[in-house]
Amino acid sequence: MSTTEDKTRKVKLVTSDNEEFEVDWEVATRSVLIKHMLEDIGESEEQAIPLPNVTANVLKKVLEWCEHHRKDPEPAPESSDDNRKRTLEIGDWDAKFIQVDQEMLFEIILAANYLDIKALLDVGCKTVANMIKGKQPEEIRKMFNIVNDFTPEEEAQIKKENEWAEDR
Amino acid sequence: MPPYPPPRNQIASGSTGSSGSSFTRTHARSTSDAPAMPLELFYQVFENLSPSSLSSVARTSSAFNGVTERMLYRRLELNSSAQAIQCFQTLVKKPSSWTSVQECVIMISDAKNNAAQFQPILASALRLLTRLTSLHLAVEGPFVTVLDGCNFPSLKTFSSIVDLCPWAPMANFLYRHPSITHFCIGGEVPGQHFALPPGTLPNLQTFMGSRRLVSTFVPNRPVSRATLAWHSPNLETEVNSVIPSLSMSSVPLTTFSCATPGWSSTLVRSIAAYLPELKSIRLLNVSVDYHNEAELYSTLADVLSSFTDLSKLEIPCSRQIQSILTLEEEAGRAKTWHALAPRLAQIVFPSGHLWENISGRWTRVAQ
Repeated sequence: MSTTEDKTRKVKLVTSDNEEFEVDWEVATRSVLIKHMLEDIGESEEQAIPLPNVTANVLKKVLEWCEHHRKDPEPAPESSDDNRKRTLEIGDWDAKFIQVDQEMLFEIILAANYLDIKALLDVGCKTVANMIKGKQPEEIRKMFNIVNDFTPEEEAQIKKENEWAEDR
Repeated sequence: MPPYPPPRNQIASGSTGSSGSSFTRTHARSTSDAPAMPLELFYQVFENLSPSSLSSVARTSSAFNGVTERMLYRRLELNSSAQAIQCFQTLVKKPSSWTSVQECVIMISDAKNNAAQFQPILASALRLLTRLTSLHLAVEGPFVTVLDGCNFPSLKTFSSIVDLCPWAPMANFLYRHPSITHFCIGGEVPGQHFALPPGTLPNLQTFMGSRRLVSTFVPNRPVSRATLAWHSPNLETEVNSVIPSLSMSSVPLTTFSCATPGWSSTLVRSIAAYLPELKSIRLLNVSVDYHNEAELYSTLADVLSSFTDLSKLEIPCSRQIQSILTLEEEAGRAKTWHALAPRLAQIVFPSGHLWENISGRWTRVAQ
């Protein structure tokens, strides 16, 4: 595929609720899923790409991110996960971008996972990790709709076993 | 395709609880209880959590407990004897915890006075950690005997700052662990004699520690990187016994880093003579009052042409000291040195500025 043609090429995306988006090739291919689909159908096709797992309001938000990051260099292959681990820092623009209600945040994470946009998935996961910070188990359950299947005794036992890990 | 394309209808947002039923769960729940995201995505979130947050999530439900405890125990970082004792008690009681441990950092300075009590607890916990790949043992006091009876078949990185008296437990431990590739050692007593059984550490690539131990650890091993702390008033006389030992590695030494009070011209001339294959040199001046920058530059001008493969040169110093070079002068030095050592591509000056040769032009870049 020649890259000079790609620059001007437009890509049509269709959401689950049947809305059509036309975006630049460079923006759409932030998604590895879309990139692979485009490679599969070949560049002559005008065909719209169906995205049955994403609604229009979420895709709009995701494309806003892709537009801003359209020039980002490709991440190094197998960039060491160890270095990313436990640094909860998010860039300024991304931090502002991800200031959405919790429902939208989860939708963005699911979409980034489905569309295979690693950097966006990372921003979403770090944001959720930041929300967990400093919270008690009951608050965390509420936040994620998690049912407690521990008895109070079991919960106390686990707390005691992992006491060493508490901030001191 | 992504590894996990989730069905569309499985998002539940806290209170509204709309959800699907078809995604992975560890045990059955009614659909209205569906968590906000598939478990796989929660795992990615948890990778970003600190130990204390992991410990909170571990108490939320059994579905989250397994994965968060595995993450929590994958890397232990223990900074006081009280914390270590709490952790070790769990390790001893709960096999699922110690089988997860791959990395262990123990940095404890408050155990010296209750060594008799702490030593056996530390020893029995360490013996459990058979899956360790990395161990950092920095415990002030007479704790080297805890290494007796330890076997870590996958250990790659080992650093130890314990009193090295007696020496036998350390020597035997190293002999039992040929898998070690990166080794850092401190805590030796001046005048102490170190010997290793023949064939010890056959895979050693990185040595970090005192210059006194170079002749014990580097010769005849495939060491390509050495980092030395050389805070000695006798540096000038010691150079002649230490640097030749570095050249006796079984492979060319490519990376040399050394912290000294003031830059030593004797040292610089010696590495030029014995280690001309170096690709990366870092000379850190740790002194806040002895600043012989001009002398260093004249020595470098003499010897840089020996380093035909040198690509990175770092000569940093204490932040409290103002470099004698202006930015223009740094650019000028970079060009002059590059003419002497044509592979040179990166320089860190005493100012802390990083300069890079970007397609033929020396440019100051942000670090």
